[in-house]
Amino acid sequence: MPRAAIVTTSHFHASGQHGVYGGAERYGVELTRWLRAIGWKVVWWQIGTGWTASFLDGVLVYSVPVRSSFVQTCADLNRAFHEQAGAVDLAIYFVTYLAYPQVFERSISISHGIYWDYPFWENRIGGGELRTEWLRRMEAALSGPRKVVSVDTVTIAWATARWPHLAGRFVYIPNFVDVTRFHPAHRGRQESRNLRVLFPRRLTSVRGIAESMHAAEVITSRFPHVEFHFVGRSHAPDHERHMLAWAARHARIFYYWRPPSNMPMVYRNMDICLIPSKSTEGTSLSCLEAMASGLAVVAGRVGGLGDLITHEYNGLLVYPSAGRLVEAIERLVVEEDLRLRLGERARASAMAFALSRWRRRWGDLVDTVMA
Amino acid sequence: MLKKKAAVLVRKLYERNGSVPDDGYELEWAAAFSACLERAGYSAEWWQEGETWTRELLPGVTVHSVTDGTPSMGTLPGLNQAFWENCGSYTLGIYADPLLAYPQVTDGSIVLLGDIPTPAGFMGPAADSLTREQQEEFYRRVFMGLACPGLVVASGLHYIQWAISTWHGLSHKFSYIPDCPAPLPAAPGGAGGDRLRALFSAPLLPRHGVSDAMRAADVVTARRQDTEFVFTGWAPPSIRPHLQRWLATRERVYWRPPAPGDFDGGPLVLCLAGTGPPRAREALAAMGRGGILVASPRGSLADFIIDGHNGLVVNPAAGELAPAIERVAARPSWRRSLSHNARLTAASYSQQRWEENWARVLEQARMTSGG
Repeated sequence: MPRAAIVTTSHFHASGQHGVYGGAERYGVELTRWLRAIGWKVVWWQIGTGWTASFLDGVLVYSVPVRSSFVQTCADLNRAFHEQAGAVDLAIYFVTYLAYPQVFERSISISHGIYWDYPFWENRIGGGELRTEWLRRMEAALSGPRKVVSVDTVTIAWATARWPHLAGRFVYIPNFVDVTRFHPAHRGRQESRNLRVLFPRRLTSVRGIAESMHAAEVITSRFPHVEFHFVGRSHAPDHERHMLAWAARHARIFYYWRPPSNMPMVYRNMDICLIPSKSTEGTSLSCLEAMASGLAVVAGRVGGLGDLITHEYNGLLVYPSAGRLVEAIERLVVEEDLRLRLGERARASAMAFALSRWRRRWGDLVDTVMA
Repeated sequence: MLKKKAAVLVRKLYERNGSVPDDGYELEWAAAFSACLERAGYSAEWWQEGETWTRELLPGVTVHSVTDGTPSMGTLPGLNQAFWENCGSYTLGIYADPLLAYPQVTDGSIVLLGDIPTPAGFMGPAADSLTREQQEEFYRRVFMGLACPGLVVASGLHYIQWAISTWHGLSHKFSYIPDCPAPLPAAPGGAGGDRLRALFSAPLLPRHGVSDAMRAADVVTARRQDTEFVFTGWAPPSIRPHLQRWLATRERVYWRPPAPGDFDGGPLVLCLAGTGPPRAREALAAMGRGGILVASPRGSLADFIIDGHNGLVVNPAAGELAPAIERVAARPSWRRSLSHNARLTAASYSQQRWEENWARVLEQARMTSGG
């Protein structure tokens, strides 16, 4: 049985107590499931205190203590992975910078999108020589593996503009959606209930939570038949308490969260979906799920969202300010034909991101790397 | 009422000596943009580098040329200075790329971003001689060209993402105005047939990816009798004899002038530009007739394509291009669906919407400058 070793930063929380549930982690689960289905033994490494955990019925995750992450690389983890993984047939660097400073011969790294476009990053990395050093390490990390999977085209554009020699290294494999689980509710025009707007993301600044809250207040005050549903957790309990209190003060604004298994039903009961990301975005799984569910999507024009949404064809792309968001939502509230047309086309275009197609592309890639 | 005046600074519409270029793509765009400015209430005037002549682009729309003896790293400071001296009092100055806006801009100013600026893109092979410090100087000038004008209008989401991932503070300056289809002559009847036609309509130059298209033609036509390759772009005289010899030994590979109906019948339209702005107006026109774009993951064409739904995003190397073409050839129903969706997508990029977007931005720029 061939053996694949995958290294990441945090599939589980660093304490090992519980799993992290984000888009990248869902990607990791699906990748592992597929590799096992085609006959691979899969083992993971990540940052931690030395614990060992497992998921998907016996897939082991080993953790490695990491002392530092100089200019956003994890050389400690990379070195420990290379010492401990041993004779692997295929190494997968689940985050691009983990392929620094060394890589296994048969290896793939994955870019989940540009993560250096948020304003805090500028300060976090430091200026001058630190930024230059980050760029040097990024180039090294992208140059090492045989192939670099990019979930979007903007990362390829950014990297190859700076380093043209990497053009042949990238493979564009956009993210996936299970179009059988996520599907429309088979209903026509809404007459009998309120129009529902969904924000299905984490409550974070980069996902546009503040702008969406502002939009919810404005739109619900203007349109008595519109309600907003914020469905997602925060990184901090304080934020969740604040959201609950805020929602309670507003009629037709709701805040709650649901387990992943219930999300298809949540989407099916909505009409409009907000993905107003401001930065650090790839080809968002939430966006794909909303599209597959036939919702009219309003998305920020950042990261890989432009690979999913073509403005005015299958959704709306906006500069994710509160004002622009209000304008776009208002249009969809008022123009029912537009809303329904965008939703239908979103569903049709989501079929191009079906899980089966994603698996086939990964299959072609692994064949290429192993040849 | 006196018309508002807009002056547009470009690198090259006509040749330096004032003659009409072999490839009329830029002239076609300039005529369309002049008409757009006219409808927005502006009289347009154009300036470029050349041997000090004046020509008429359209009735009442002149193009002036100024000799610049001081080109440096893609900038033309002499031309920039002449433009500023002659047009500084106009309502708006519009710079066709960021390096033309270096070192100074007029009071009311807009810069266009139609590609990711790179030393190679602006300087060609001369960029190979740049030291690291000179490259840094190049990007410093690009930054000035983006930061100094009042507004930046990008025709592609990649360009915005590139800029804000490089210089975080610029995001508020950008407006996104995707191109619209170029007018196409009407085609008599429906073209096409049983064969899948791969069409290469760009100039037959390496930077447009002609070599990879030729290699793919070799592979695909040898493997599949139901395919043909048609090259319709202009070729420089120096390569024509080689091209004729190459064609003479191939079946179902042709080079001929463009003809009405080229894009009918759902051909694959190969847009493989490696460097330089993509020919988006032409690509959208092709989509509007049902042409299926096969495009690089870099540049604004990726905005129009949802990979596998209305076109294909492919690394423009023959090794990846040929299998992609064969996959479409093998599935006629998918080909019909791609073509149908391409036509629907192109309809979202009407000239009317393009002009409305521009009218809004022109007004914003005028208000910002107090003009």
